[in-house]
Amino acid sequence: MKEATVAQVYGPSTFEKSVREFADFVESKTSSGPASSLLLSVVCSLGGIAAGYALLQVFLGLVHW
Amino acid sequence: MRATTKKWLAHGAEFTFFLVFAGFGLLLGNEIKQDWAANKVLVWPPSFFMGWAGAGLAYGLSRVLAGRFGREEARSVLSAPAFIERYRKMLAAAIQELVETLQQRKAIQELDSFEKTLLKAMANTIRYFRSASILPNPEVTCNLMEAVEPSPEHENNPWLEPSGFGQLLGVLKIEKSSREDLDVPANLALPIYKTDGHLRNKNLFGAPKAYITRENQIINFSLWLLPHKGNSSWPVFKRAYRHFWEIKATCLSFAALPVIYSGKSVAVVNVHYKWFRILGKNPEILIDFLVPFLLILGQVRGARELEAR
Repeated sequence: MKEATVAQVYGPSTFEKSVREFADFVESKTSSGPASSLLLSVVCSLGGIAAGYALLQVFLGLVHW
Repeated sequence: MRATTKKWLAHGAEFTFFLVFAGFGLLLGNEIKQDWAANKVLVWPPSFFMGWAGAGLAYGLSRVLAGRFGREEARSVLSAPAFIERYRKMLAAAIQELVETLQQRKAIQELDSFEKTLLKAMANTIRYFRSASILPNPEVTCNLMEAVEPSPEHENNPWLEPSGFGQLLGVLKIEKSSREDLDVPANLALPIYKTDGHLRNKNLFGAPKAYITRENQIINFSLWLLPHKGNSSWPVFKRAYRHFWEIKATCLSFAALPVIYSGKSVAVVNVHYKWFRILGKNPEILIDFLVPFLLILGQVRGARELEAR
């Protein structure tokens, strides 16, 4: 017969409950976090390329002024 | 402005100036050299050399700022009121359970459950911190590794140094995990050598070294191990490379944190996930939040020793 876990015999402890609550909190944070970070990093990368190209053009314009 | 936005903007600037700096060097290398030879360092309109050097300086500055904003972000993530409230509640409950454990001499089965919950608490704390600062959201696994007495089955251990069996102090084996499905080989057995033997300096990086030195071991990228080779022999080191290559789908970085009781190591908590830098660029900030759980775990290991007597 399969041995019963402590939680099955005594019910989850206060610590176990608080860890579960914390896990739910982490899950709710992680479900929204990556999308906004991904958007931010894509914007920064594309912005970086555009800004780099613009800076180079401005500088070349100054050199040939 | 939020620290995360500032960090990403600084990374964007870093990327921009890197492109400009490298672009200048590649496309206008001859002109830059000529400007330098003609001493056109500070002139108007600006010389090619000025543009190249300016982009280089701006790249360096953006890099420093990105690091600073990264630290600011780490501090703000770990001081968010919603996190602190839940963390404090979790820690208070853990301390309460520890007090009960020490007062009531609980059964081994209850100690097992307590230890597993402590591992989950640590894994969740790390996951909370990392998911706030990186794009992927990988699962974090905490494994508790315990030192067991060497037995004849360890004589052919692939991690063993040549003629190392006689020098063994013990073998670290995975005893518990924060997850139900173990994503590293369950039969992993890492040798630790006697501190007074001739192999005392050959302990492998990661868990064995953490156990012996009682210091945290952090491997930011487990497919680039050369900086961590230490005095391990090449066959063992190659074995380590092969191992991490085989488990690259589940582990790309890891940290080994010693569990100390009465001044000596009693176990090691190994944390890993499938992304780089398991504890981030500024691990010390996160480790401060893990130490209370490691100390409680040490006390539980002590209670377990008492129970076993």
